[in-house]
Formats: sequence, structure tokens, C-alpha cells
Amino acid sequence: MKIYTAIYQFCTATRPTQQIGAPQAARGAQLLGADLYNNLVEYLKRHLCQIRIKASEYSDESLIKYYIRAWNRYTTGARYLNHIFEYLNRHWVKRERDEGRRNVYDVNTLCLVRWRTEVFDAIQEDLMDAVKKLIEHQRNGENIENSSIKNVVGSFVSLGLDEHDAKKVSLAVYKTYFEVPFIAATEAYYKDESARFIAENSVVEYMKKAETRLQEEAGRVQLYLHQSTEKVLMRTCEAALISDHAHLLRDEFLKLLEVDRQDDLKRMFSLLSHISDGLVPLRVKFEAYVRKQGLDAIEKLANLEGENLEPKSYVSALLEVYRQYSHLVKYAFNNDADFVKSLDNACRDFINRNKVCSASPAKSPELLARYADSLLKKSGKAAEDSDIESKLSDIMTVFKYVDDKDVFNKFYTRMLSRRLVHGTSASEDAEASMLSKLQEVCGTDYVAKLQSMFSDMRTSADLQTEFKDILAANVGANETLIDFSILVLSSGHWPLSAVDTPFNVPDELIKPYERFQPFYDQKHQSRKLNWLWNLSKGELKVNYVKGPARVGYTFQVSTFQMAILLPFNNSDTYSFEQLSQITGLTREYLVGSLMPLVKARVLSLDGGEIGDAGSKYSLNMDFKNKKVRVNLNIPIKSEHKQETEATHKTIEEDRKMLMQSAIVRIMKARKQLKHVVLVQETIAQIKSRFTPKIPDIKKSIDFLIEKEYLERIDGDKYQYLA
Amino acid sequence: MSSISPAQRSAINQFVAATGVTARTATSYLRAHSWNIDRAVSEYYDGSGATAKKDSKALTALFDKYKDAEDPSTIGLDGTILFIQDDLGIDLEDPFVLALACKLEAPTVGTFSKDGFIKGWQSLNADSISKMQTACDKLRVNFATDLAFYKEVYKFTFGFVRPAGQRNLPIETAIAYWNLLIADKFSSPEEFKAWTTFVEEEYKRVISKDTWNMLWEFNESILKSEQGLEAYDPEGAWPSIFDEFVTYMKKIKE
Repeated sequence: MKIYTAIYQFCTATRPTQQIGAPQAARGAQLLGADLYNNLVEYLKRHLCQIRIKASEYSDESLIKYYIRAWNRYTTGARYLNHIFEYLNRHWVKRERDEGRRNVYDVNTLCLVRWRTEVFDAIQEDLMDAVKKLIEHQRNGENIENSSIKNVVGSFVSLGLDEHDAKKVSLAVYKTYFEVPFIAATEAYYKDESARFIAENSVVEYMKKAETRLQEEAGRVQLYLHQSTEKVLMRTCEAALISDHAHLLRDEFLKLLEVDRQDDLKRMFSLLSHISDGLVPLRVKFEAYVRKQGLDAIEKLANLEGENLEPKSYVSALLEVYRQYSHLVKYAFNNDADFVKSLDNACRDFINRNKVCSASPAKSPELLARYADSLLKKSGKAAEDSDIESKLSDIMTVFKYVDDKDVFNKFYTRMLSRRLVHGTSASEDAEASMLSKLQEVCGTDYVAKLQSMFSDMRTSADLQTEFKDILAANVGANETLIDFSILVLSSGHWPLSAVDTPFNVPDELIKPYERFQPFYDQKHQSRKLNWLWNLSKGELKVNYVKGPARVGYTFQVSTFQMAILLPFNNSDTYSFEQLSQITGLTREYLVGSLMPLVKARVLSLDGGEIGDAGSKYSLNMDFKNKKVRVNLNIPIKSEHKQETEATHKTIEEDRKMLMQSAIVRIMKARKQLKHVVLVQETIAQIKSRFTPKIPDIKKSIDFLIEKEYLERIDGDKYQYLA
Repeated sequence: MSSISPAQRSAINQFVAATGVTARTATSYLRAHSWNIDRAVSEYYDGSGATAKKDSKALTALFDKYKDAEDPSTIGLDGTILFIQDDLGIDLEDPFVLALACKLEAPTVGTFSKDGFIKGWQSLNADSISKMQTACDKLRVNFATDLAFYKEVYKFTFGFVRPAGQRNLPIETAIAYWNLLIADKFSSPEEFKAWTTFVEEEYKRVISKDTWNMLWEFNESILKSEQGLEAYDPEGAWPSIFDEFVTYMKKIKE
């Protein structure tokens, strides 16, 4: 306080003259301040010179220690000095600086500037060498005092003085004298270490090492470096540790995939994600690998099961590959969007273009639809609801990748109609759930037909009830009614058709037929009822032979078979010709219906093969079967194949229609369009159903030009004709 | 007459002011030139307008000479033979008949409509047999030298020779007229032969109008181009018959 007062008095000593306002007096005050200032500079110079001389006695760690000690002491002193010379700071220094003398500083700054010129410039190189050595020791695993480096860093930062504004912190000194040599040392260190390490160890070990190193360096910034160094330090480390060895890492990628080392893959992903474009080659490899895995799995399956490939095993093979790599993407690749895309590409490829589909690309959706059918159909073992639900979701997983969604729809519709007509659908909930799943992916249009099939079923049930009520009210007392149920379905919604054969309805069945027809005609006058006898069936109670437990058998038969068996009430033997005449069936359907009856020994065959001229069929009076209910309604084998072929044919037709209507829609909206644009827009419109081929689109355009929906103008442009 | 817009009304007035004709005549000239007053007026002063009436009288008389007994608004087959072969002295097998038919807007082989007959000869400035013969000589030169006109005739021929009530041309008809019209314009006789062989033996379907028209372009821009078939882009706007033809050609070359 005394010194402060002394300085005050010194500086204000000439105040009176100053107040008189003479210019010389003002100058005098200035000179006085300058004297004081210059003396201070001289003093600091002397003091710092001693420190410098002393410092040269130390080296390495002790140099650091000495530096810190001296620095701390000096800066504390500087702070005191600053307080003491506060008055000088406030007036003389301020005025000098206002007048533009940049080499005059406030006292604290002056101390730092002097330190920098007298001490720092002289010893900073030795000091940095010591610091670098210390850090190297730490990197080599030795314990060091973090605080000493932190202090050195602090001193470097403090010395960063802004010439123009003393209050601003400039990192120039830190950057030039600390960061630059430090980064260079780091780079050299890791270049050397990584090269050595990778030569002696496996890539997997190296990745672990690199990962640890990166963590350590990130921690180092927190421990004692300035925050601004983090970026450049990490970039340097990543370059030395990852970029320089990226090709080695990538070369290891396939090996790791093959042995499914998920943790190592995760590590590789995270290391390579640090460097720009580090992951691109991985993605390419990943996609190719997954594709190959999928193709191999299916090829193995195809070789194993051949012709009789089970839809279930096909779908689970696809799913297995998908699941494995989808999990990997999630676990190891952090669900990276680009990796997800690669996985999708690979899956789409092996699901649509594998060995099973090589003959017909529509095989994949067909098998998928068959698998869905097997889940939704009543079967011996009742599956849990939740189980079915998850399996249906699995189907959707594969379905999303299927290109030819129209093929799936075709087969699904066909099999759904069979489930509904034959009453073999296992659960209404499951059916509804599947429908809503399909709708979610493909939209309302896609499931419209399927939905109307369900509503047809409901309407038909109501109709049936109404008919029964009327029948009950009108039937004569002594008439025996046969149990009769009917489905009335609209032909546009169902892939069902009558077969090409005449049929004489047996007398026993004619009554319900004759009653229902007028009932319906009266209700819906403009509608035409087609009877699909080929899909009808019934049950016959058997009295001529006793089954197990002395109960009569019940034969479950098709209506055709019923027409064959009922005449046996009158006679025990018929010839093929007689049966043909009675039933009216063509040879093909008569033989097909007889086959299961003969095979199950309901009828005994005499005189050649089934269907031979003169072959005779007589009732087997010794018929035996373990079950009371005997199912004889077994479809002819070839029917299945024919049906598949027919389905494929209708798909072709549907596709033509779809392309033509898309083209007409587009042209109607656009009026005129270039060929190329029309083709692109057509593809865009229908690729959710299937991927159209350009020649097929062109054929549709040809067709539409011929039918005068379109007209060609200017060679490569079309015009819509209303 | 009821549907004349104010703009059209003013065009009629201008026309009347410029030429001094009746509003009725002005209207018909303007109609004929889509209400373009400059063109209509210049047409009037070119003189063709002044003679039009006269022409049409002479032409109607000429037309009546050949007209069909049953359908007097057309010239039938007998009239055609009389007119083309006997009076004009042109062989009916001559491809030039197609050019003439095109000019006279004949609807189909062996028929001329009165309208097309009169308008056609008017545009050729001929109202007597001798003038017609002179006009035909000019037109023949035109047909031989003006490729654009030739192409117009080629395109016209499809509809002209198409069987009544059908959209397409039977293969034999198509090939017969290709022989007549495009064979010597084709890139090479071999390629023309390949085309007809392909149509007869591979394609085996009727020929659509689009195919007919695009064959001209195909020949000009693909077959006659330097790269030949290599210039063909199957993703381009070609009807798919040309896809098949190019595939066929490549197979043959192998």
C-alpha cells in the first residue's frame, strides 16, 4: 500500500503544472511515467536473466519442474506488481496506448512479454523436448505427473498475447511452440509403433490396440492439453493408426465375416468410420458376401431337395441368411443406413435371382405364397396364435424383397379361395392379420380382391340362412331333406371356373338344386348362377358294410364321385360306359374321380385299367378302413401342375393389362410424351407389382397404337387419342 | 355462319375492304386459310381464286363422265379404268398411280371421291384431260425427285390399299407394295430381301400402320446409317417388330 501511494505521488507530483495546461508540463508527467516504466523493464530484464541462467543448469524433467516453479513464482509476482502499478496502468499506460504506442503494455502484460523474450525464447526448445519425452514415457506405459504438463500448457497458453488487445487470449504461442512439435512427435510415434505392431501381431490384435490408443489420446486432451488440440490430434492419430493401414483392415473383413467375429467387425466398423470413405469398400464387400451366402444357401437346398422343394424350408433358408446379417448390421454396423441398403440390395438379389428361380423367376413368390397357405390352412397340429403371427411377419420380411409381387398375389388368391371354399382356413384372425400386412406394404388396390372374397363369404352365409328358413317353412311333411349348403360368390373376385365337362346331377341331389335356382333368380334377376360341380363335395353314409365299432362308414366324396357311387344303390356292378352315360362326365373327369375310389378299394376293378373300354366296377362288400370317416375326395395329381401353369399364364395376361392401363393412364394425363419418358413412368408406376421389361412395354405401346389409343408423332413421341 | 367470332368478323371486313368482294366470298377464303387474312388475300390475288369457280364447273362435268352409276358422289372401278388408263393413258400398274391417288385423296383403290377429285385437280391447275396430262407429267417428275413427296405417297399408300374395314395390312399386300415403293429406296437389295423374308417367315403377323410408317424411318436412319444395325437402340421408340428384325439379322450374320 505504501508503494502504491509512492507511485501515486510520483505520478501526480507534477499535477499542478499540468492543470495550468502548459504542454511542457503534460510532457513532464509523461516523462515521469516513462522513467518509472523503463526502470521496471530494466529490473525485469535483470531478474529474468538470472532465471534463464539458472534454467540452463537443468534438463529434461527437472527443467520442467524448475520452469513451472519459476513461472508460478514469477506470475504471482507479476500479479502483485500489477496491483502496485495500478495507477500507472490506469493513466500513463492507458494514455500511451491510446496514442498508439503498441510496445507499451500494462504491467502484468509487460511481465509476460518480458518473460517470453528473456526466458521462453531461450529455453522453449529444451523445454518442449522434455515435455515430448515425458509424454512418450507415458505412451510407453510409465506413470508421469500429468499436472506438470498441464502447467506447462497453461504457461504456453498465457504467453499467447494479442498485440492489439491485451485482454484477448491468443493461442498463437501454444499452437506454434507446443502443438506443432507435439503433433509431429505423435505422428512419428504412432507411425513407428503401428508399423511395428502390425508386423508382429494379427490385424484383430492391431484393431484392439488402435482402439485403445485412440481412447488414450482422446483422454490425453482432457487430462492436460488445450481443448483446441483435440481435433488435430485425433486426425493425426487416425491417419497414422487407421488410414495408413486401412487396406490391411479391409483385407481382413471377409475373413472376419466368414468366422462371424461380430465384436471384431464392430471394432473395424468403428475404426474405419473415422476416416472419410473408409466404409465404402467394406459395404461393397459386405453386399457381395451376403448375396453369395444367400445364393449358396439356396443352391444347397435346391440340390438337397430337388423337385420337391418344401416352401417352408425355402422360406426359412432365406430368412436365416437375412436374419444373420440383419443382426450383424444392427450389432456391429450400428444400423448404418448405407449398410442397411447394402443388405437390402443383397437380399433382393438372392431372393429373386437364386438357383430355385433360375428356371422361372416367379418361383420365389410362388413358394412364399405356398408357405403362407401352409400356415393359414387347418393342419393336424394347432399352432399357437402368437407363433403364427410371428411367422406371418417373417413372410412379410421376405415379401418386401420380392420383385414380382403380382405373382405372389395370384398364388395367394388361388390358395385363399381354396381355403375358403373348402372351409380349411385355420383362423379368421390370422387371415385378417395377413391381409392387413399385405395392405400395409402394397396398398388397398393390392388386397381389394382378397377382401371382396371375404365379404362374398359373409354375404353368402346370410343368403344360405335365408334360403334355409324359406325351405323349412315350405317343405312337405314326409320329405326327407338332405343337408345342403351353398356358397354364392361373384365370379369377378374369385379365380374359380367351371370345368369343361357335362354333368348329370344325380336324382338324389336334384331337389336342392331345383329349389335354390329359382330362389336366387327371383332375388337377383340380372345375375347368372354358374354351378361349379367340380368344387362341390358331400358325404355319403354307408350301410352296406359295417366299419370299426359296428358303425357305418361315412365317405367324404366329391359331387362327381357321389354321382358315381349313388347308382350302386340299384346295382352292384357298372361298366365304364354305363357310368359315363349316367354321370355324363367326360373321360378325363370320370377316370380322375374313379381313381381314388378304386385305390381305396371302395370299388373293385375288373377288366383292365381304369377307363379301359369294358372295364367293370363293382362295390367291394368287404371294404375295411381304420377310420370311420374316409376321405375319398383326393384331387388328381396332374391338376396341381396344370393349375400352376394356368396361374402363370394368367399372370402374363394380367401383366399385359397392367402395363397397358398404366400407359393409357399416363398418356391420358400427359397427352403427349416422349418414348423414353413414357417407358420410365410406366416402370415407375408398376414396379411395386413387378419389374416390367422394356420389350414388353414396347409391345404394349404397339398394341395401343394399333388400337388407336395412341398415335405416333415425330417418330419418338406419342400422342393420346381420346 | 352463326359461329363467327368478333375477331373473325373484323377479318371479314378487312378482306372485303381490300378486295371488294362480298362478305360471303371473303368468309369462304378466310375459312380455307384458317382465318389468316394475309394468306387469304394473297390467295385471292394470285388469281387461282378467280378461276376456281370456272375450274370447278369444268371439273364437275368431267367427274360426271366417270362417276359411278350407283354412288354418284364417287368414281368406281370402271370409271377409274376409263379415266386413268384410257383417257390419261397411265398404266394402272404404274406406281405413279399411287402418287396421283395421293394427290386426289382417293379413299381406297379403284375409287375417287368427288371432293378429292375436284380439289386435287384444282390444286394442280387442271380442268381438262389435256391439262391433266400435262399436270401428270409434272407430278411424275416431282414424284421421282422430291423425297418428301415420295414419303408422303408411301405413307398414304397404307390407308389406300388397306382392305375395307380392317386396321392392318395382310402380309402379301404389304410386301407387294413394299416391292413397288420402297425396294429401290432400301439400303441394299439384300437387306430388303431379308426384311421381306423375316416378315413372311418369322414375324408372320399383319402389318400395322405404325410398322408401315416406321419402316421408312428405320430404313433411312438405321439401315442407311454408317453403323447400320449397330445404330439400333432397342430401348428407343421403335415398334417391337424392329427389335425382332434386328435380332433376326444378327442371328443370320452369325
